[in-house]
Amino acid sequence: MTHTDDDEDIRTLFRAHEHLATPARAQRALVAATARRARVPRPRMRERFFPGLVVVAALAVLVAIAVVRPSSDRQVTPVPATSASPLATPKAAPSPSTDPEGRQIGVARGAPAGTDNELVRTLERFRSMLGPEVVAVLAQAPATLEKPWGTTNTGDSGDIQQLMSCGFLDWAGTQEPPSPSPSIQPVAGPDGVTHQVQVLGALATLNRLDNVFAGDCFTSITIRLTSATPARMNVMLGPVVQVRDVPAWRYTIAGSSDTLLAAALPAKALPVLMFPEFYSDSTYAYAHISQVHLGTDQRTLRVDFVDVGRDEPRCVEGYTASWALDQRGLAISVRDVLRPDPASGSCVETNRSRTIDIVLPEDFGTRVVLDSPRAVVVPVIRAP
Amino acid sequence: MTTGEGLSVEAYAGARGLALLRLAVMLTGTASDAEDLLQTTYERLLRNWDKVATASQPHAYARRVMVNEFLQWKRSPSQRESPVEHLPEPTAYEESTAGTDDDGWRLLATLPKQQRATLALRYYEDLPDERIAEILGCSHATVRSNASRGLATLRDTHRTPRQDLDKEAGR
Repeated sequence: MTHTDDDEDIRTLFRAHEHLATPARAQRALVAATARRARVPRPRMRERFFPGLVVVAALAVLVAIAVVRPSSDRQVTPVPATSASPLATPKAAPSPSTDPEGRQIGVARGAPAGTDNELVRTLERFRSMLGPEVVAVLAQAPATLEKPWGTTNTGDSGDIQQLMSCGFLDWAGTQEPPSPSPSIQPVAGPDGVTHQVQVLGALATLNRLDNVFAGDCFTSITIRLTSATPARMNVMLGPVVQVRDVPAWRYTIAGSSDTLLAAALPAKALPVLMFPEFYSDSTYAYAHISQVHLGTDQRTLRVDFVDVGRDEPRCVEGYTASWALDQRGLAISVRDVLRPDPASGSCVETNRSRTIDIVLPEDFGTRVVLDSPRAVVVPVIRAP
Repeated sequence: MTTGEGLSVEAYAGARGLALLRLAVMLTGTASDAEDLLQTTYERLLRNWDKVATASQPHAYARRVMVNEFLQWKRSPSQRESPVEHLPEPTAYEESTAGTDDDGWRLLATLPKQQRATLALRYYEDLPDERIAEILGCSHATVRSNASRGLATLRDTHRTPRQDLDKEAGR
């Protein structure tokens, strides 16, 4: 490839429009794609394997009845709401759903009492992940490149954002890469509880990036990192939930004014729990829950959600929240309610941020909240 | 969504999503179309995420998917441009690009998709022609031809004052 004025002109033209790509748009595309994926069934697989699955399922049921029955007391069964119940799916109190301006939009209905098996199953599977392991899911927090506005890379590092994926991150500092001090630092988890977390050193953090993103290389250029200073950064837990103030390292890059900011947490756990098979039908459109506000009475929860809409425009009448509760967790799903006869009333706008309230039969305590359809931990904002 | 390899779509998107979106901008020319293209690409990737996560070059795979989606992309009627009598007020995007080479950018958008993709991959992604040929499914000669013709169109049209073009056309 020759370098001519034309080459430089078109490079400049492309780079002058890089700013059209914003993190918000990238995030929105992922959220929309994930939501769409969760709603789309897989007819080919079902058609192909359905007869076989029926036979397997029937055999499995027979075996389960014969063998597992004695231990059936360990199975989770939906039961009516009582404060003594370890796991309950009580009927949520009907409450209004509102838009950001506080106007009521449609009617929110509670879950049918004791019948939402999907929520119960999700919570059962989620239960094993509750506790300190929740913090570990932060470990896949990616690194970000901090690029000063209006500057370009210089030296031999080229497009660092692209080369980062090569895993050719090399420590080239004149001093040894620093270790964290202290090595155990607090992180406020998405459950609202502060956890003490083992923090990686500067070199171990680079190794983590290598392990996650190794392999996408077209060149042998190495990004040389010359210094690292302690920092904090916000990371995403799943496509919606942001966790703030995580320990990180900020690296300087040889030959560039860019800096690399990377979370200093070990990669050892699943970043997001997803059980889309529970929600793979397209009957309902599940909203994305972004956060939950706990009221001063410790029982009322205001759920912030975004209705990401459906593939085809439909007349949405309102929203309904279903939930399941156990002693350590609260699983919530919010979906739209279609108006059977669009001519009988107005339709609400979709793709809007909205809230819906639910009232628990007992104090919320220190439970973790789960956006059930996506199995994502949701931050809890507690009233001061 | 995770795999046995540990690479989740969220982790991948967090690290490379912006880079993919930038490529989408270079391919489509507008932020909104780029977002649509990225969403479509993610949907395609999610359908085969196990394959992506275990690929030796996940980003190369994703980039190839995006370019192929772009080349086959047919926007729905509601998304296509339609002639209007009066232009709307400038959007924040249009205002933010004031001072940049908007004529060149608009001209780039008029190039055939193959040519635009070739230019984006060669001059924005800095890929060698061999790699571009693999992505586009064509020969090296076709890559060179597409690049040459695209650049010629930009050079010849963009550097000629519009009034001269109008004059030449007898308007």
